[in-house]
Amino acid sequence: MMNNDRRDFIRKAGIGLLAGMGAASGILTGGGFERTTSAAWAVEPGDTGRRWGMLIDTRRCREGCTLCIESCHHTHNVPDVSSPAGTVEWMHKEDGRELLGSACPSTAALPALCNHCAEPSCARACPTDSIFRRTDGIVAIDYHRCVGCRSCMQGCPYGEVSFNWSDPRAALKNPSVDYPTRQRGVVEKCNFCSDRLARGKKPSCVEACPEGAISFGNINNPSSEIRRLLESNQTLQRKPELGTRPSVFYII
Amino acid sequence: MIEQALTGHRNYWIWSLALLAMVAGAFYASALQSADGFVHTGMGNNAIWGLYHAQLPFLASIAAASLAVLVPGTLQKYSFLARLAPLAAFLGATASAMSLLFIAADLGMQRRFLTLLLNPSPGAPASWQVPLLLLFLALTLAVGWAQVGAVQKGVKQPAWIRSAVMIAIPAGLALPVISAFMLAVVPGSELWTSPLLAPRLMASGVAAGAGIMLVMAVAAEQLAGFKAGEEALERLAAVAAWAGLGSLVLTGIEAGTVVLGNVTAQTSALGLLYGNSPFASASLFSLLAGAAAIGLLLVPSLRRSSIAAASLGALLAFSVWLQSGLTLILAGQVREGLATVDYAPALPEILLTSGVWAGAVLLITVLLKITASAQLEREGL
Repeated sequence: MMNNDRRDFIRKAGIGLLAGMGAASGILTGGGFERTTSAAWAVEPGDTGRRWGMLIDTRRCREGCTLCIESCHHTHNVPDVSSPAGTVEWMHKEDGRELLGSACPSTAALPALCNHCAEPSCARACPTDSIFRRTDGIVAIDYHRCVGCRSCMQGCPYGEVSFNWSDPRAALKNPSVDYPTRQRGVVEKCNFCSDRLARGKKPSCVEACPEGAISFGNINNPSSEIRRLLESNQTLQRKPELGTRPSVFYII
Repeated sequence: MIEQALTGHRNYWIWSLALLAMVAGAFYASALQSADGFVHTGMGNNAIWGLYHAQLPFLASIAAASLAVLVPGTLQKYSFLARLAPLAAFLGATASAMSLLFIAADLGMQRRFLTLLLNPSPGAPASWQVPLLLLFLALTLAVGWAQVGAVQKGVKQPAWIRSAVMIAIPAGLALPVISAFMLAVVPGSELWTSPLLAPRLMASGVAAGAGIMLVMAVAAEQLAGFKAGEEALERLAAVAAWAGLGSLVLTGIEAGTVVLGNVTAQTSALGLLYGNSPFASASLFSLLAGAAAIGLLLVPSLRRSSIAAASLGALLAFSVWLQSGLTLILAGQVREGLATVDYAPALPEILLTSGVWAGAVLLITVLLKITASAQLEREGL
């Protein structure tokens, strides 16, 4: 009896110790897929600024709902090109397994957008510095400097950069006056609504979601809402193994 | 010297006019593209880069290969290679000029071409490409022209040629490395992130470049009375064969590493080239044709017959173009989770590409004619 208790205690203590070590080093992944650890939002030494981030709670994302995409594309005059080879998208919905890997438990279509990576490979590919990372973490494009070489499209492992193969203005049905249109021959992608942030507004997809599934905030700030959610939930990032350090997170 | 370009036999004119007609086709396609963008090409979200970009790694490696003759021919006093030095310089210049044209053709915003020079991003390998190509073009063109001028006048080469070639060495060697590094910034594309890509481009480029120089020298001998010398031709054939062998070995080492490591992403990338994929026939043809050309160039009697050696050199160059141009760029775009490459070049794209090649062949023809006449004029004195 005594012996059994002691064995039990040692076993439990051992498991607890291993779990503690795992959590501390960020290698305890639990399931078959790579869950995000606190390293994903750790502030880099010397980085005192903001890092805008997004958290999508896919449990609240309704099947067949595309309000976030519609709002985003209207706000930013994203052309609605009919041919699939010429599609321009800032936001789209994609099968969960395509998006987050084969171990993702959800096969529902989940929203996808530019990840605004902390180590953006698109910016490393751009020969003219037209796609660059701002000090607030937003990966932005200068449409007036872009030469249209499409190196960033190749560089993005998520396929989130679009090219205007045809004249985008011809494919705009109901243009918005709040954001400029683009010309043929340049790339474009989600800008994390830097235009709206500058006016003190939240990103349009965040506002458009009727379920409040999308949270947005400064993940460098330990007391922000998004940071609280990141720390209290198990989240996933797209292809974290590529070292791009995405700033968009998913709760499955 | 330039007046030699404007005199010639009937065949010279027929050849030049045929090439000019192809160049005119490129102008037509280019006008079409300026007006409507890439809608007349086969490119789109399924194939972000097509025929234009597919020329770049190959041409960069050919430009670098010209150093294999230019350097020993000018700096190291290998007199038998000195005769071929202007040919090599002109090949380097032509390959750089073609690269610049293909880069321009592939821009969505062609009128912003100068942005590539005015707003470079030194951390991005791609931003080194245009400045280095311009530098290499200027150096090789000036060196080749001055060498031919010196031959014609029967004087010693100007001393600055040595310095120009010395500057051209790092610039030229950097070209294929930058081509490979431009592809290496793409995480998740196993065909492009291989550390062996740059050495493979360099070795196969030297093989293909030596093959093309063989064709150039033999054509100039047969058609314009140029004398390259047996020893120089045999050396070119040997360079093509040994560099080709080196490239085959590197390809084998890379494939062996992938097969032994058995990492799914890497084996499926290798499968894209040699497995059940639309690129397999081109890749396997390139491998077999290249291996056959290399094997035959290693046979001394074939290597010494200039026509046989030039034909094998052309076959080797074509096999390298398939491998380091077409399949590398097209197959490399297929990535897990992204759309497959669904690409067939459209007619304007083919017109533009073949027009640039025709313009290059015309330029080489004229430069070879000038080189041969300079030599003949000197020896006739």
